[in-house]
Amino acid sequence: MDCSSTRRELVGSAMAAAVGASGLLGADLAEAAAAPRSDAGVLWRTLKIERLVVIAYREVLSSGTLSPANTHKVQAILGQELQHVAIVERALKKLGGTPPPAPRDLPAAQRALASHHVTASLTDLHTQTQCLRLLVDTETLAEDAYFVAIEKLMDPALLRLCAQIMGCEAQHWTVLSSARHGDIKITVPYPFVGGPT
Amino acid sequence: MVDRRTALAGGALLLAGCGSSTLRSKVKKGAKVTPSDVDILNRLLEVEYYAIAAYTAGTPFLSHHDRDAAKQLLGQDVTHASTLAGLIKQGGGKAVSPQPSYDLGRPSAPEILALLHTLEGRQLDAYLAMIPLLSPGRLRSTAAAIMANDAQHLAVLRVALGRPPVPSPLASGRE
Repeated sequence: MDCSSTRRELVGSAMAAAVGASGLLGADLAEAAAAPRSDAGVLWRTLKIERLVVIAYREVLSSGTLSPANTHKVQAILGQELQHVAIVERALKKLGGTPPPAPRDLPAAQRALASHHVTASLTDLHTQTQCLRLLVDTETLAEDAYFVAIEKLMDPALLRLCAQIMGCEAQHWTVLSSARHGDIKITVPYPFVGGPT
Repeated sequence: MVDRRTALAGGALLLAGCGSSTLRSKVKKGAKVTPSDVDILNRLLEVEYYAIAAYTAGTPFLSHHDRDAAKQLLGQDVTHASTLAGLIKQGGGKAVSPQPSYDLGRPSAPEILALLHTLEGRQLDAYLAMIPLLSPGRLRSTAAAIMANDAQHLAVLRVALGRPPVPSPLASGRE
């Protein structure tokens, strides 16, 4: 994750790899071991979550469940999520970091989402409600990821960049919630976005 | 032009009903505010006051549907202002007061939405500029939590103005 890993980080990563190989709570413990201690570490964790978001959008679109109007909205949002991935990946590489590997398959992505308390299914997408719920939940996860990132980042340019992406994720949330409910009290329900879970 | 008493009265009523104190505590829990943050937070507070004044003055002239939305957004901006004031106090500072009046011009009903859009955009840009200047840690993410809500306000206002709600992958007040 970070080219300047300390001994503690290396030991933690090795422990996580060992536990992951044994199949015991791999995602949670690997995540804990990869806890950000540098700007590169923060971006690494954030990029990992952005990739899960992209998988959710792709699965929803490939399910063919959405109405034409909602398909158009979701395609546009996916385009922006892919840009977020590219932007964060570029920033991480500029710091000398290596991007995290993508989840091996859908079950791995589902486990990774579950480790972040997102329980909506990536495969059970037979209604618009199921699709939009998954996307709203993953956008909430992305908002929380940037909330945490902004708390930990030190570089001013990266802080601004992540704040801009967080604002965009919040707007996605509102568009999706509006497609699901159409009531302003639900599409912008809280005066704060993101936060500790 | 809206006077300070009207703006404060409108805001106080909305704040009383918004019921977001638990959420606010959760978001800003652990935020450490130093004296060097006070000026920055006060500048953000001034921008929030301006938008509150515009919502308070303009909301009654909007269509029924837009009025409901504007009331919701106003209540949230009032919560942002009270949160900022609380943080300023926590940092040992004194929160600035709203100006006695705000010159908002005499916009027509359609122009009111455009004015609100402009002011929400200014808020967003102010937070984006100021967040890196705040003390590291939870204070920055608390400001970002407010900023992202203002970004949502912009998306709602863009829809009301017939514009795309999310024109860019990087939110800003300039679109």
